[in-house]
Amino acid sequence: MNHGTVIVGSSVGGVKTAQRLRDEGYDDPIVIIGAEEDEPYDKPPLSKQFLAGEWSTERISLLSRADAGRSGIGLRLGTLVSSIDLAGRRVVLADGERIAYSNLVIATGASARPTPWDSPPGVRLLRTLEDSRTLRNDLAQATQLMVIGAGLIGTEVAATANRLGVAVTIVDPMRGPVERVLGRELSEQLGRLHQDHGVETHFETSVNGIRSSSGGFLADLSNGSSIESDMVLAGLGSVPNTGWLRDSGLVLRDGVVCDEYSRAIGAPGVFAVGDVARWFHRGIRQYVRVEHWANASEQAACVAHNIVRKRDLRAHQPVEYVWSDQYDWKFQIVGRLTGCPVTQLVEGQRKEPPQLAVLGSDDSGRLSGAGVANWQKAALACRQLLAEGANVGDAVTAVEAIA
Amino acid sequence: MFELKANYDACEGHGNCVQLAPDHFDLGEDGVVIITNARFGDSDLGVLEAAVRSCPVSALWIERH
Repeated sequence: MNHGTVIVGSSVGGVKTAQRLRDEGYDDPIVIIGAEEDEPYDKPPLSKQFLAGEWSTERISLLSRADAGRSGIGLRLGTLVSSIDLAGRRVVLADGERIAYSNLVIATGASARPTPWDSPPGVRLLRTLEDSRTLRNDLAQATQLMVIGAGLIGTEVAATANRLGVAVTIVDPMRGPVERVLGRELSEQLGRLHQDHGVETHFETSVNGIRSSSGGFLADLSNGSSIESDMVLAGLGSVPNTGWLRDSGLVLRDGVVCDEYSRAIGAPGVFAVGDVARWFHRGIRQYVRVEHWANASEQAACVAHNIVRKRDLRAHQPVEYVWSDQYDWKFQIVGRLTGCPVTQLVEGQRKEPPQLAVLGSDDSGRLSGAGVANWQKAALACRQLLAEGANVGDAVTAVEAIA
Repeated sequence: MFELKANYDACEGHGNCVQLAPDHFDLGEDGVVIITNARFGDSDLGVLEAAVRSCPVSALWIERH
């Protein structure tokens, strides 16, 4: 008997899988089970337009109840799945209800990593819509925000807060912001951008602890100083949500381990999508877990295809793509820029904000990654060149041609 | 018969659409999408639905005529 597809997780990966299944002509039942009460919403605006109060909840909706109904997609929100019966092909809900499946898609994402210190209450994390609402309220009254961790979340929140008139301090042990993703050159640009807007930065510095103070919080830094603030946000990365799968029998290793088709190892009919998936990337010949929007979206399309066309499986081999919008700058990274022994810079015509493309190659001379600022056409060109396996010399020529 | 539509204000120039359907989309100098081939038939629906779904800001949609 065909029980359709059960999708656990109501964020980007889960919703896009359901939508792509229907696009592909899948007629069997689909149900999305989500732990959060909020109707499915998009993530990128949570550190930007929604946080700033510019966009409403409606504007960031991924799938309304009405649209779900029209597409025959069941939506079970505020519902926790407590376990999976792999042999019996059923999920078991917290209240004991069992839902049978022919295909199961695990899309439970990741949670913000908690702070390692004994902090006073009120240190904020940002992952969910609820977190963003809390932050938005805090920002309305804050005068001094301390951001711990200069990754994508930390820096985007810092930029948003700065534009709302809040004084911001950023602390990170790395040499510069978002260095692992942006690479050295663009990380320096981003650091300067924040500084030019009056953000106080402490790089190559860590936080030893956070205490309460009369004004709010006091962060003790490794350089001996202490920074006072009335609001603290910690952006320390995220941890995949696999705790609920501990006794499932699935292979877990910092995520649900899958083959190149996003099929969970040793579990027929089970797939994983998005931040929770650690799958074998055939292109780079490694297991990877990628926490970016584009990956969730592309992997969802791949899984939907593989559910519908079991005899014509497609490997998930994306060219990685991540973007970040801060102040009036747009950063776009394709492929992997860190660890590139050689990088070359190409500049476009426009100077305000400047169009920059940093192209990186590995020892083989092939383009392995590109970091682009304020130049969408160049970012797209690099994406296409990466997909084609172009060598870096040809890539530089191609980008210079559109400068 | 179907027709591609775009919200040019919402478009941020990610180019996922161009990647998936280069015969129908391009990116302008200003980083905004250009629909180069708006009308299409059943045989292209699959690819173009995928392109529309791939937009990070939901700036694209398909109208049925």
